[in-house]
Amino acid sequence: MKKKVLSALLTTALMLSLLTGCGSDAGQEGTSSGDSGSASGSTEQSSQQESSAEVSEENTGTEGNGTEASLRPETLDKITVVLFGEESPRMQELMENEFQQMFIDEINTEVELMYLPWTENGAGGKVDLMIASGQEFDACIVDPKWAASSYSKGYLQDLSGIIDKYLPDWHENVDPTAFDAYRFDGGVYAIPIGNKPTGGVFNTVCVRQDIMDALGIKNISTLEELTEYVKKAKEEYGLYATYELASAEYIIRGTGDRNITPLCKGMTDVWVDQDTNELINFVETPEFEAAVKLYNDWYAQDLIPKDILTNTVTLPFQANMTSIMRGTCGTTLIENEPGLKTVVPEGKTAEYYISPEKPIYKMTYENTAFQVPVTSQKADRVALFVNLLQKNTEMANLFAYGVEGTDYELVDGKVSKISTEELFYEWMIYNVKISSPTTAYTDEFMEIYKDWDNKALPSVSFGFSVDYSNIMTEKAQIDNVWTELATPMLAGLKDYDSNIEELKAELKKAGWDTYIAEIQRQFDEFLANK
Amino acid sequence: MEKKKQTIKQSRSDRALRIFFYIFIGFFAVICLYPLLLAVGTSFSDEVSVTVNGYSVIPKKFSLEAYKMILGSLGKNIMNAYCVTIAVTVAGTLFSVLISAAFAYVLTVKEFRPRGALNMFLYIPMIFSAGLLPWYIMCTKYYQLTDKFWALILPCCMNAFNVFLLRNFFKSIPEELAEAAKIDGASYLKIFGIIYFPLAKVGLVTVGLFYALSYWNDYYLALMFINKQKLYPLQYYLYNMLANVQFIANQANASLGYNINIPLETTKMATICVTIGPIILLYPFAQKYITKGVIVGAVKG
Repeated sequence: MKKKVLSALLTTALMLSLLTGCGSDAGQEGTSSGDSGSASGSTEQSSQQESSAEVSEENTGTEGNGTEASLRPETLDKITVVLFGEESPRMQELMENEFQQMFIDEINTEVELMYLPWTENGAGGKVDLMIASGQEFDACIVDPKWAASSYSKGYLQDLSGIIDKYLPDWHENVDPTAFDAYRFDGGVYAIPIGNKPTGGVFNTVCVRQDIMDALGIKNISTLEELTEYVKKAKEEYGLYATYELASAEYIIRGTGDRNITPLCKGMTDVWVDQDTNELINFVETPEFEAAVKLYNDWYAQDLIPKDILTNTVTLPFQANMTSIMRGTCGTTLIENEPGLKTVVPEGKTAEYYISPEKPIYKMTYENTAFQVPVTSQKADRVALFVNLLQKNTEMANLFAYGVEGTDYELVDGKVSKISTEELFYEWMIYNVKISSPTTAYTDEFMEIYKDWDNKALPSVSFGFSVDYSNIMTEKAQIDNVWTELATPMLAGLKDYDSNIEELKAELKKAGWDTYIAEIQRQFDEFLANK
Repeated sequence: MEKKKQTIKQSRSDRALRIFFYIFIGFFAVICLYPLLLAVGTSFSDEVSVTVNGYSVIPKKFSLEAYKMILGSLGKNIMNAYCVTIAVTVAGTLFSVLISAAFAYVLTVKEFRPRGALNMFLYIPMIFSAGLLPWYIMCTKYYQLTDKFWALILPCCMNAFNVFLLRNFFKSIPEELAEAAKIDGASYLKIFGIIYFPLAKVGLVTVGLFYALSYWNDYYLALMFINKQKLYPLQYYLYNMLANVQFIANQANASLGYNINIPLETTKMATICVTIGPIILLYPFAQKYITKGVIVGAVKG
């Protein structure tokens, strides 16, 4: 009898766990508290948000009386900052000596660093687990997408009351629009760091200037000119055009009358009209048609490798395998050329805008920031810490490059590194206003780079990121359809005319209407708050 | 001459079949070995030639860059990580085998009445799990395992499957031996130590190897509980390094600040070669036990 009862109990428990696992929205919150930090976070959301308010109030009322000179707290305290990667031996040494002394001298704060692997950088990683379990730390770097997810779980502390008071130097050296990526419901949930041009990022096409010169091609400003270049590069040098999909923004430029861009980073299906703020199903645009047809044509001419979808080649452009790649923002001289030169010593690269007369938009691709978890009581110290990293040339150079004379030397105002060990991330601290460039940055490059953003307009979706928690099922289904049907089209493998109707129908069946309605709602809200 | 007489004479068809089997097994061994050789070959290749020509057993362009990167300036850290892993594997395996064997023995003692309850205690967590968060809170808040050496051993020190495996081994030992010892005045501890432990050698080595493998390959416990670099085990150290290399390679394409060429594919392969070395050497020695052990455990029970 006992066995029967026990087996019945076990079966019931199993059934219950299965049912709750299959449940939809309502079920998700209360069930798998242990699935990951994210799931459990939702159950603790309300209490954490309450404490968040208390914490930020407390913090705004603590040390300092508002003037810059008195911002250094009177008492010594310690903050724990989570970074990713590996602490180099030199960084360990500096954190025990020069850096630590500087933190104490300037902000009377000891800084302890905790390093996690880069795989934990993002929602659902160990940082979320640490916040959900109440493990104490005070700051961690974050990107806009992750911040949106953490905000929706109530993990982040509202820093509105802190940013005006504790970031005096930051405000001098960083563009305050950087906060836009971290504003949710009127609050500010992270402190951005660094200042780099991001205008037109991914809007340029990066080409082999040495090949263009040899072929006598002066400029590339239309898709026809681009096609001519890639064809000749294949004929003369045997290079494929690219290993990238046709959804790249530079291909879209000028193919339609509208100015459209992806709604946010990494999004390929929803685009936004920069003039009307209308959200667009990319599949239904003439731009999509033009992109697919261009790649169909290239594929037929053997300009695109047959294994484009299955062969994940590392940096093919730098390996002298392809003639074009998606450009960033004028940084090819730094990012691609040195790699290419190891294979082709005479190799040169350049970036061109297709339809250069069309506007260039500034998106939020490069913004790294520091989040402060609701569990921390030291948001003011974190703000002072970020402020110090961006205080002036001396500080920015010290934390990114180390001690002058030991870790680097200044040659004609440029940093020549003696030690190559990583300290605070150079890419994070680099501020075009205050940081000294390294000797790798030529004068010619710096000339273009410094003014790169001048002609860029802020994108309407600057700072917007989608919270998928209400449309997770639709998102998964749409992603599936996209991978199965749209990706082969954008790779040029499947032709436009015979596949487009099926793609549209499948997207609709996957829940496109619900998906886009929810994103539209969030976007409207975002625009209203802006 | 005498020896020749003793062997059974093989017919032609027997010999043909035997040759066929050897060829088949040899072919199968090559198939199994090929990926490993490919990894070794690629780890000694130049990154660009791997990108252009793909993987190859014989490097098209020989390069030690990947090993320089792994062992170079970080050689000291790697050695430290090796020591941690060896210490964890040795201590963890001994501890786990002892705990599991003791638990398994208790489950086979018929006079021990709460045997059934203990069985369930072991069985239920195999099906239901409380999940990650409670486990993490338990280990960090209650057991205070953060940044402790034992964090790499305790959370996984008893595996229910291995306990059941050992229980089956112990069950296969004739009860009469224990009874005889009892009549002679032996305590349970003595019976366990003198009779069961030596007789279940095959099972213990098998389970020991399972534990050793899991401790050797584990990076997750370190990911969860270890922040001090001095306590990084090898797998976690390399996992971390690989994640960083991947990140830097992606970053190089999207942001200013890097102009270095990271040997990504070759580094991955070199990592494989560095980590599998010692454990691959352990296999031939334990092989006779592991095959025997798994089969015995599978049939009896």
